[in-house]
Amino acid sequence: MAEPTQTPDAARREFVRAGLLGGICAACAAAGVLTLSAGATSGEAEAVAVAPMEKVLDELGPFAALSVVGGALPVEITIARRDGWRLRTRRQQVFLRRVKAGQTAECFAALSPICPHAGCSVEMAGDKKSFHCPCHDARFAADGSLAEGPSPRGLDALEVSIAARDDKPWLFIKWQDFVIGMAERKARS
Amino acid sequence: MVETLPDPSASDPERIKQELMAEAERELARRAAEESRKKSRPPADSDAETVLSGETLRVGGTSVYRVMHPASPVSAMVASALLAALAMVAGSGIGLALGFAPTAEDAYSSVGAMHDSAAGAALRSIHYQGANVLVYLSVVYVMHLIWSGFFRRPGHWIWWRALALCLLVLLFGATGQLLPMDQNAVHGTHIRLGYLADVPVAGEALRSALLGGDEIGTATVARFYALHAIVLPALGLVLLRRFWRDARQAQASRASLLAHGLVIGLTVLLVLFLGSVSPAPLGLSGDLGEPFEDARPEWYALPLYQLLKWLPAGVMQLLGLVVLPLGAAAFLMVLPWLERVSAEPARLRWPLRLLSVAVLALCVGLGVWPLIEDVRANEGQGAGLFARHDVEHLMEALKRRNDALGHSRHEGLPDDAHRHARDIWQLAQQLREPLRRVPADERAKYPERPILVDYNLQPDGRLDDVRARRWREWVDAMEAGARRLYAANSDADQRKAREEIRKACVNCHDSYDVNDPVNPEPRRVVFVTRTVEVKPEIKPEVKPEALLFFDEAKFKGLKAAEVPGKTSTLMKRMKTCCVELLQHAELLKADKPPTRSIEQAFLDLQACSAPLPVIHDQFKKTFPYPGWKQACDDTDLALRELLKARRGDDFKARILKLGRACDTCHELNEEVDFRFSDLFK
Repeated sequence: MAEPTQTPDAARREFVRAGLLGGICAACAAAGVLTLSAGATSGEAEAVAVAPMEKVLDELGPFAALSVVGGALPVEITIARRDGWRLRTRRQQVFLRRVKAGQTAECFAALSPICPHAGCSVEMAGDKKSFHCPCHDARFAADGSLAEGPSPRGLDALEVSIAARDDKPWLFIKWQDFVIGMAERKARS
Repeated sequence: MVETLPDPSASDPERIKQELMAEAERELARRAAEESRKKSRPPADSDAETVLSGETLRVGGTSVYRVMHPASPVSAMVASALLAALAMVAGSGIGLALGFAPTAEDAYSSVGAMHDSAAGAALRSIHYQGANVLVYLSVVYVMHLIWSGFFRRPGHWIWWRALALCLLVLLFGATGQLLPMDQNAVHGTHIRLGYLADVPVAGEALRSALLGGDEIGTATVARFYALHAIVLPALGLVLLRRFWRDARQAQASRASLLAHGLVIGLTVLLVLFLGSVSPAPLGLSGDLGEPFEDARPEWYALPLYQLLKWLPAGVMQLLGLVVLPLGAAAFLMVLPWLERVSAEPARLRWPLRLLSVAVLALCVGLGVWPLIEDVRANEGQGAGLFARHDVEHLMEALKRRNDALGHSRHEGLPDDAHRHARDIWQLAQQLREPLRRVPADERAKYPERPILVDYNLQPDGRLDDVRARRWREWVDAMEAGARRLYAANSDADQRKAREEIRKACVNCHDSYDVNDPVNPEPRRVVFVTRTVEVKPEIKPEVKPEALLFFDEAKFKGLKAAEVPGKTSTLMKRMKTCCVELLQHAELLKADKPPTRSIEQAFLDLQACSAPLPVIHDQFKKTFPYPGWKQACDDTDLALRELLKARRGDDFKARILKLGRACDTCHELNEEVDFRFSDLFK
């Protein structure tokens, strides 16, 4: 469809010129992207200290909800996050539950509040036992299993452990990110 | 020379032929005049598509399109409007970029600083609403092209250009949304990037390339900013170059300058009007660690959002999220191959017209649905954009900020104090119309009534003037403190402002039944409209400073039989405080920072111990414990001494003294079966 006012040669020349310039620009930009994406995420997470066991087991005070089996409460832990070239820390809410009576780590369970559907933070429902995601209305039972809604799986469990710190037993929770949007539970590293 | 041309594709072939011939003649005459003027130079406009040629002018060929399209006054007008909106968005964007700091820590504050100045707020609103108008106009443009059959080959480049425009506008929106770094931006982008990871093959890699870390941080802001302010504008310029020619060709051929000026003026007015009616919002500072239940997508993404609520995870969600939008885009892309331009009206015209209207109606319906759901959510309290938070929720948010600012008088303030100050200021404004959600059991008692309770109402539904006035004073004080902290010039100023905020918080906690164990009767459930007038002439009976932790009127309503139970509740709470203080004492000894501020524990302790002597005064006759008053006074004295202690052993010794004073009370009250001396072994 060559127009009489423009020779095919001129069109080709312009195309080659624009292509060359655009290509050089794109190549430089791509090189910039390559340098940025290296080493972007942190590796294996470490367990974070939550509170001394004596405080967790106290029937009064902030952990009182854990004194009954089935009781759950939101606790905040400080987690490390990789941000480009540096590490930052921020507070993250997790749900701590008592699954049976006793003082060992097996008696407690921790749930990540990240909804496996879209990554919103779930909140505790009014009964303080079940969980509700405010984004797309997914609901989870007390143990984190899926009750209803569009989520592909239940809430993700986090590792709870008890270890010594300053010669006292402390409760630790290991924070992990999980890949959202699929039925299989896969930790992101 | 405004000509009233009927839509060319809607009329009969003969008319088209005549119109085209007339048009071509005019064009040729104009071009001949131009050619003679600059004979020696090559044509400046070498774009093959927009150059008209007499030789190729045949009905049914490519040239029909070339003549037809720019001659359509509608698309020329839409193009002018689009360019006007684009000019506003680009200009305000440059203005905003001058004051924007693309780091995770400072992005919100820098946007906030702009937002707080009148010029900056106007700039933000123009940018925000200009972008919205761009979306409207892109939809109008595409609809116009479909409606008049301008998608047909060989005019496919104009059609694809329109689609590229839509895509660019959406990408601008998606990248620009994160930049203010408020709660909605951070949580919304977090969710969107999660969806991106769901896309098969490249999704995960794209997500991590955009994030540059575990989650949204400085690397992410820098990337989004570069995309929003450099990469996408560059692509936009390439597109604009062609677009500009379409518009210029159209302007030259059909409509008068006045008409175009009018359209441009109207677009500018529309953006300004929308900006003044609904200015660009800026929420609380973004923090992924703080749950944000009001995250909602931009309005044009609401249909997809609603669809996602229904689709179960897995294949169906992938269909809705990836296949459906990509499929629709691919269908639009291949439209030019389905039909060529001819002298006949477009074959696909009516099916496509109907389809586009149906899709548009469906999108509007799906988009309005979640809005209606949000308005009705939480029994009238609303959610998402329409959320009206209850007092407990706001206090929780305030507590977070207060904790971040630190409580201790000896502690410095964090570097991002101004950010928290801004948040507190915003939260205080929301506290002006306080609401409370009624617990489920109370709701069950009054099923016929709405469930919102206004904090400033008496149980019978009348406005409690004293209460409303006090509340207003506290909120004013908090707001003033937050403003002062925001504008503080020195460390001392900052600390002083922090104390002001704290005082307002404590005043409110101490005299309200927010977490009040001494509230004998549950409030009745009432509902009022928001327009409650407070009569200024009514003076509060008590000065706000002299307020106590409890409501005296309620105390008088206590029945004698309830008194021992009430006191033991208070005593148990005191025990919790004492245990906490003991832990602080240990920490002070080891020179470690306390987990929670000592002052807070003190305040709790004071708040619990203050009502005890009053109980005695009130129920002298029926109160069964002689010697109570003396014991209470001893406790008060011990508490005052404890307040003067600062470190280590001295602190512990004084707690011990307090415990002994407490124990004299405990021995009197049979319902309290613990002794403080057991705690201090």
